[in-house]
Amino acid sequence: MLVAQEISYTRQQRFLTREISMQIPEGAFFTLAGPNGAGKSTLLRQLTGAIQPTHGRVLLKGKDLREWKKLDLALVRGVLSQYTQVAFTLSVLDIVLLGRYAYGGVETSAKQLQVAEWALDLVNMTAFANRNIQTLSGGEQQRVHLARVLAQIYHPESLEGRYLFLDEPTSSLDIAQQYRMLQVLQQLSVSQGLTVGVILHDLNLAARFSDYVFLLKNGRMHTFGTPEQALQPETISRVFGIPISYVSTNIKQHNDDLQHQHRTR
Amino acid sequence: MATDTPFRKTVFSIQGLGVLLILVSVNALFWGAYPLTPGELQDFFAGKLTGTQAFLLWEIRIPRIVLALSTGAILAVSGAALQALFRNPLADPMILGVTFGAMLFAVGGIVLSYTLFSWLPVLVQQTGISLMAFLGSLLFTLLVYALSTKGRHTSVATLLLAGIALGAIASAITGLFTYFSTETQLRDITFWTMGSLSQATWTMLGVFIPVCLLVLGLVFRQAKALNVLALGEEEAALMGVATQKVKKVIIIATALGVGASVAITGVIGFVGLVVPHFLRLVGGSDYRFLLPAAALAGGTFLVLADTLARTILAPAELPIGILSSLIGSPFFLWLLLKQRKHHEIF
Repeated sequence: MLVAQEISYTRQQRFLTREISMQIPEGAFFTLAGPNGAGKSTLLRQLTGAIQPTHGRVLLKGKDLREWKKLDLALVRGVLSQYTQVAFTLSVLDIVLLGRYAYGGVETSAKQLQVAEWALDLVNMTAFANRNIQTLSGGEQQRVHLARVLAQIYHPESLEGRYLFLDEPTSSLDIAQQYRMLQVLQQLSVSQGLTVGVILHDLNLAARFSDYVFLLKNGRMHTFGTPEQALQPETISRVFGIPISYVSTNIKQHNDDLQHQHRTR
Repeated sequence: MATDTPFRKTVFSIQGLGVLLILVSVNALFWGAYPLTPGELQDFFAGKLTGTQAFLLWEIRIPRIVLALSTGAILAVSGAALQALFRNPLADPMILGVTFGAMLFAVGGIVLSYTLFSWLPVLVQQTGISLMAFLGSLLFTLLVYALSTKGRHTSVATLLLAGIALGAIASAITGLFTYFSTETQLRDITFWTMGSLSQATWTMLGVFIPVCLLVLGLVFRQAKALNVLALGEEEAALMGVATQKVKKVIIIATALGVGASVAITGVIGFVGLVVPHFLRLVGGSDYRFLLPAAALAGGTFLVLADTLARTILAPAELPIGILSSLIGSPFFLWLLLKQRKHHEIF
């Protein structure tokens, strides 16, 4: 369980997030959405322990994030930042292996290699294993970093009790890759109990994949609930300040049909 | 960097670099103002060589080669470690102004030891100067870090400019010391600012080598953490690296290494830039390879440069600091242009 209790984050006397409370059950897939500057990244960074809330606290498995040791935390939660630049020439495989840093003392390098290969396979980047990361496109790099954080939270039996946070993971991916990435995450969440928290701008994707959606506006929690509850046209209009109308295309049914066709082909 | 060729390890193995180091060092034994023959060298190792040649080898040439090896190793490893800390391959103790900080404090130490503390034994004075150099490099590393790093971001432009500014300040104050110093002090100071390995003695090495081993040990243990640091500080922390501790260890260890080497050899620049960069090109940037390779290749580089420095003008010798700058600065320029091409600088 991940619990945020009235967390606020201030910088130069300005509230970036204000009195936000959340409760995320294990195994859930949740999305943070909202306009630019709503405080999504700031909130996510507080949930990951990258920054400490100015007021309130975040509890992971009942323990305040401030009391977690960095190394212990790295064993159960991974974070994919919005933008990661690698300073030196390292191969794709090297980067993914870095994900296992926290296991350095207890895991053989053969085992780590296995984990890295598993992760590269999940993001479809196996063919790039020996390439220099700096020569890849933005989208490819993003997938490599996803593989790195997947390697970080990997567990041979189950991902129950493990957490993955992703800040706009789809930002430099094409629509097919966006879909694929979220599908991989959803699969890990549903079948292995991984808890996933993402920031997304595309509300259609949010509706399609999330168990819970949290809409932020001006640093406050505006609305939350299941996608059906949170993503009402009036709510979206109010949060983003633009007129929205809901056009039903029964996209879920449509998608399921497509998938069905794809499988039977 | 070729885009489509697989990117992988290198022909330069650690073992290969070790062999190269031994070959270069043995070769260096022969060369100098008084060339030695292989026969004489054989006699020496058999304990049969006596007189001037034996003295020359044991008291001058061998300590000098050992000093070149350890200084080269320390400078190259410090460079590589600072590059990880600043996440930029242009970082080098001299470019960051750290070397000049050490120089300023060492020169200050010289002036003090000639004036206020001349009654102290020479060894105490020497240690005092080394400690001053360490303080100088520590202070300047902290300064350049504080100036160029803001939150999650280290600005390369600010980093280089801060290095230049700090170096200029240190050089100016060193100049002041020079201006007001006596004839003998001046000789010492000039020697310091140009860099030389000619001061090597076994007594000095007895202090310097343990310091080197300590520094190498401290830095090598952080190899994995330095790899993760290539992703950025916040990322590294999220992946379980004790970033604050790693930073402290690197800053103190490199300051200690650079301080100690400047106190003994004066300013020898660019080793920390040229050697790691060459190794990155041929072997990638995995610090588990890069650090030991930098120690070996740095030692080799400086022995080679020093052999050159004491032979091309024999019987006079070229200050090694000048030689290393002659080799290093065009290289730095080339690196800068290369980075500019890739829009990595600003």
